[in-house]
Amino acid sequence: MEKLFRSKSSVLVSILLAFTLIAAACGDDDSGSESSVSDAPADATENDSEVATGEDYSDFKVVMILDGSAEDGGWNTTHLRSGNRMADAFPGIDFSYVEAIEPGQPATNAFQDAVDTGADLVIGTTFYQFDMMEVADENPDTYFLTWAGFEDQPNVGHFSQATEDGRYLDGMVAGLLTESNIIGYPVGFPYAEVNRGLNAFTLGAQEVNPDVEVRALYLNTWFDPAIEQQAAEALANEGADVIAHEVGAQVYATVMAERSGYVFGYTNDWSDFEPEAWAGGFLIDWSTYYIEQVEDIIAGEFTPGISYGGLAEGWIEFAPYGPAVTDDMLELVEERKQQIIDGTFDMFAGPIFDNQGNEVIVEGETIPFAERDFCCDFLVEGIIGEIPAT
Amino acid sequence: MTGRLRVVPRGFAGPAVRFGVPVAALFVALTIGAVLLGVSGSDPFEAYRTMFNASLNGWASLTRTLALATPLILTGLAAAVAFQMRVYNIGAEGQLYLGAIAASWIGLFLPADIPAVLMLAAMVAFGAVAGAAWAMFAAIPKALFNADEIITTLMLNFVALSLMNYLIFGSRSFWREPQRAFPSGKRLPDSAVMPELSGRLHFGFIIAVVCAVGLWWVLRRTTWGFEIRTIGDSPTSARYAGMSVRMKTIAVLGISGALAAIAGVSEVSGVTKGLEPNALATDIGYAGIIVAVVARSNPLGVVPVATFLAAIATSGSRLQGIGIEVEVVYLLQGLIFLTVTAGEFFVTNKVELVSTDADELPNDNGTPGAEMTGAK
Repeated sequence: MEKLFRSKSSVLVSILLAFTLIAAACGDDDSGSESSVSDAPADATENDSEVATGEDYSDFKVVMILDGSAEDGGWNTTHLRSGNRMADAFPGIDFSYVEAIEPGQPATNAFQDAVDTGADLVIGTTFYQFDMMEVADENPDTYFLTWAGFEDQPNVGHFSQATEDGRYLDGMVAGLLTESNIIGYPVGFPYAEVNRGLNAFTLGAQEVNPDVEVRALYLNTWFDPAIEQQAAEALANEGADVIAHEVGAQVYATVMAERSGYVFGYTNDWSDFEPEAWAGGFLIDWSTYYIEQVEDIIAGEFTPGISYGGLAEGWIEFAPYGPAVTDDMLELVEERKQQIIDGTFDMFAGPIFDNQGNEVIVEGETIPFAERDFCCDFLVEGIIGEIPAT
Repeated sequence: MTGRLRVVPRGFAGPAVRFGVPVAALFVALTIGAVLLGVSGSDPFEAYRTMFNASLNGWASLTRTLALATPLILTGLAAAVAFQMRVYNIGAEGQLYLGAIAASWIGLFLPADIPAVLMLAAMVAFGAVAGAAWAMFAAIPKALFNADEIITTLMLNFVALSLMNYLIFGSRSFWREPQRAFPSGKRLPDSAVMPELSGRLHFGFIIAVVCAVGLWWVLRRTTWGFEIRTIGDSPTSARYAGMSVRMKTIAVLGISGALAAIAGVSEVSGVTKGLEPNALATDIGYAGIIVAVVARSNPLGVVPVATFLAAIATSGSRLQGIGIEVEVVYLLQGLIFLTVTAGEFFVTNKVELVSTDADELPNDNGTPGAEMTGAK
């Protein structure tokens, strides 16, 4: 999860620091040069009002608050993509975003600014809950959505995504692609979603390839290309010919391309980057959720609380698969995908053993979908690695 | 006639200079900024109106600026006290985390129903001690072996960050809320939350201002403070005069660490209300170094400089809200801050045009000024 820790306002701070310490008050100020390569997409604020459905939503204002750059190619890009799709569904809607807002006081101020400038709905795309609740409490007529929150408030909705649905299917492809039967899987910090994704991926790989082993590495960072490079090389040296990950950098693709291996993406389509090594990867799409919320708010039927969605809810989709993935493989994947959507296949159906030999889910039991958000504090059999000291 | 521009220190800056120069510098910054905004396709007047409204216009904006300035004042003081002795504490960031970790531990550990005064006092005290103790990892090697404190304090920041991340993301520690999908800190009880003064401005601001005045008094009005400044000016003569440079290095880094840690206490108790690594790790410690440099390590100067920086920073999301790209926002904020602080140069120095004849006279004030040729 690369969503946090890429504080862009620290660009200001660090450049100022450099300038001040060098005591160079001369020269021109280019404090934005590192991030100024990109032009902010204008399409975020303007929508085709040509989609003549007769309805006009120009009175409705949505502001999205992103913690990093909108063009980070990762978490924030995913959110903005979902936001733009939502905007496309409501002709004329006033949708805008502010980016690089750090949690803490800057986030609280950004939420307040959104309210003050007339927002009807404010979407916080990272763990902003604690920065947002006071603003939500003081402004009961504005609605708020926030990622991974949980506190009850009549005008607040929380959402998080069932990445395990995507991970399972990615795992199947990976299990079919690997020749060494060793898959590398570096992750960031050991918490529920990361462990759950790792488990689902491994179960998917094992379904098609019982001999497969998944080597997990907890890197204790959200984004650190140097450490990630080392992890990728270490895994490749251990024989991994496929890498899936949940950290931030693109180094896995580079390393796998050098070794003729394959790499899976995480929430974004990086198929253009080292295309020969690209295997595929699930994407998150929150637009169905956003659209429902806007409709409910307009209809006066907003329901607060936690929403959790996966394939069946339309929250998970897939990037194009790479050249190595054959139609035969995809046939298997498609079948499972349909079964997950229909609810006829349950990846967490017992018996499931952890990699310590304990039966964590007994025969006939499962982890109900609604409780999966809190899973897992174990790693399934077949994963080489352990959750760091808890 | 041939002449030269000569920069000489002003002996005394009158009120016209003291206020006129910053105003002129601000005007210059806004003019350059207007060109920048115009080129990037935005309306400069709307932008400046938005900045002013967001940061200084009215009580609500002002309290929000001061709330953002609160931790900056404290980390600014942390850097300033060390700079007075020419000790460079780059570790305020990590010391801030330690303050937040220690204070939230007290807040969660002590019974929630004890009086808030006791609770908050314990949090500040314990947080300050933790920050000072953390600074000792740099202070003692510096005092004993003259280990470079810039390196050690900087490196310790990453250790402190890893520690804080470990407590919330990497383990099921005492600080972490056990039953949540996304790792977060346990909420502090009400008694451990700084009382609000107005809006989101909390009691931490009072603490910060008291620290500023207190530090100023110690540095300017006590023998100890005099010794610190003497060591800063000339360690050799200080040693010759019988001052213990070692002990003062340890003491100054301890005080510096404690002040930075109080910034962490103030943030965790007044803002995040739980140990939230992502909201605490926002480079406030590093920004304090800039504040101290611009304030010339004067504790009383730190307060307005921190407030000025906060006022500029707080308008960011509003500026984006009127359609200015985030890169231009950074550029504008940096430009204003740099130009106004660079203008300070003309408060303490003056530029005079001297004839070439006069130049041959000996420089009577002993300090050679930077000289520039020109003005034919």
